[in-house]
Amino acid sequence: MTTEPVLAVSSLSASYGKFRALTDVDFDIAPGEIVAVIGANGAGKSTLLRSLINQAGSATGSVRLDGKEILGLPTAEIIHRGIALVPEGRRLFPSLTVDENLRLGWEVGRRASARAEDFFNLFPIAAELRPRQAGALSGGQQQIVAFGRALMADPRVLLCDEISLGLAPRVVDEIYAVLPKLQARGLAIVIVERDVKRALKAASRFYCLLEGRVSLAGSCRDNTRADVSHAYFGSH
Amino acid sequence: MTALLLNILIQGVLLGGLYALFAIGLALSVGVVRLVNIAHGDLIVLASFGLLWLTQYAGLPLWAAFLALVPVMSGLGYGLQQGLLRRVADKGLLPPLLVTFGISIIIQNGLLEAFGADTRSFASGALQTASWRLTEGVYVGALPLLTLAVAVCLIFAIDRLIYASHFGARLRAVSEGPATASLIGLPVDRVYGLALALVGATISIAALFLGLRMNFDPLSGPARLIVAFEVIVLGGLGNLWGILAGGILLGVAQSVGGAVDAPLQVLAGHLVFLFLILLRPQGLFRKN
Repeated sequence: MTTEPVLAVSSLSASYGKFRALTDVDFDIAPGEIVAVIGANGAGKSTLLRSLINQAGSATGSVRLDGKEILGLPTAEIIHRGIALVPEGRRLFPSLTVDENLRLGWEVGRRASARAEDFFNLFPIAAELRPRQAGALSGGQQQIVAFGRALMADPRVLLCDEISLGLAPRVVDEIYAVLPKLQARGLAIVIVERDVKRALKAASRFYCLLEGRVSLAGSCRDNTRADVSHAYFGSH
Repeated sequence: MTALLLNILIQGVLLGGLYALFAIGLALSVGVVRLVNIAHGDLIVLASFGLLWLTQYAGLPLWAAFLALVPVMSGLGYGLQQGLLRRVADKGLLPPLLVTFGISIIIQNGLLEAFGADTRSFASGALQTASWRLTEGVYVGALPLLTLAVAVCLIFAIDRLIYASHFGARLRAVSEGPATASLIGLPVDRVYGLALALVGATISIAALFLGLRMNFDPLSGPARLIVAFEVIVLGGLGNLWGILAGGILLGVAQSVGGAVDAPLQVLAGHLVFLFLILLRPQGLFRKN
């Protein structure tokens, strides 16, 4: 990599009680880069994302944001420093309006101005949803709002956990079409995705996890389907 | 006869204002923090004794004592959450109940030790006896009317705070999904602490009117707690205006019971509560 990474992870391990979910994971991402994290169910993808924001049991190792160690800091502090998560399953606050959900994202983040306008420019449909209760929206609309809530924090690194899960392909296309625009602004985007084909198409590099370890990492263009399949499923 | 019935009804409605004041803090504890605070009534009584100490021993006028008490009780609410309750918040239903039960015992015995078992009240001068005659046999007391007006204003203010402010959106978010709130970076424990600080402020108001309207003693907290529970269950958990309705219903029931036979006053309230809860277990009003 030629650019200094905005996020650098080394020897990251995470455990839930006695169960070790991640072991010695090394990972980095540069500004304006899209990186995919792939792997089978239970491989540790979501745990990796949650470890980065101190939401995954006990973690050891090192996580550096802009060269500063953030491992072990409270989640609120990490998000305030510039990492935001679009959680799996959207996880909006259903009784709050779209506006209120978005504002919460802004409040916990770096509080940059004009984030809302920026988001509504990216997703014009979201502007019409502002006064509606989040729980009354369709799954696709909720995903757009969840995406917007994370963007409102004005992150330097955006973590997207299974953003296509349970959604119509058209909606997924709409969200993925926005990623290059965000990338062009220097946002580093980590995609955790079960739809491997889509993830590898959107990203420039990938990490494949197998049983909590990185089984393969590299350029999305340089690795063959057989390499990825072997790293994804392990030796058979 | 009509005047008698009207008077009973009016006194019941006015008593309901006081009961609503007792219940507002508990409704916030249960509705926002998901904390069934067994010590709620004792905290009201503790605050009443605080006012008593500030007026009788520190020599402050009642209004100044009240202004001094509000930040102290808010700080106590915040401190209890941050120092104690957060440690048991995710340990299931029983540990928070036991911890607040322990706080209740400590407050009762501490007050007994400090102030003795005598019943107390605040002197409110002319306000105590001032009243207006509406018609023959029907009177409205100034203090009960003030209590009801304060209850209405307080519920309105809290309603606006929760449903029309950024702080309220935080409260609702944390209440609705603490795990999600934590995931997106909301400081859940701090928000809970601020919610209990707000509870502390409402307890100060309840304590002021408890001492103005009724006698209190170190062991009278549980009776206030039962009233508060009945009010919020009647009104429907999570509905602020339901608290006022629940308080008024309980007040009217007690007023009618007391008119039939004085010892029936409290029992009548409990019976109406049981009857209505059988009819509408979800409370009178829908949760907001």
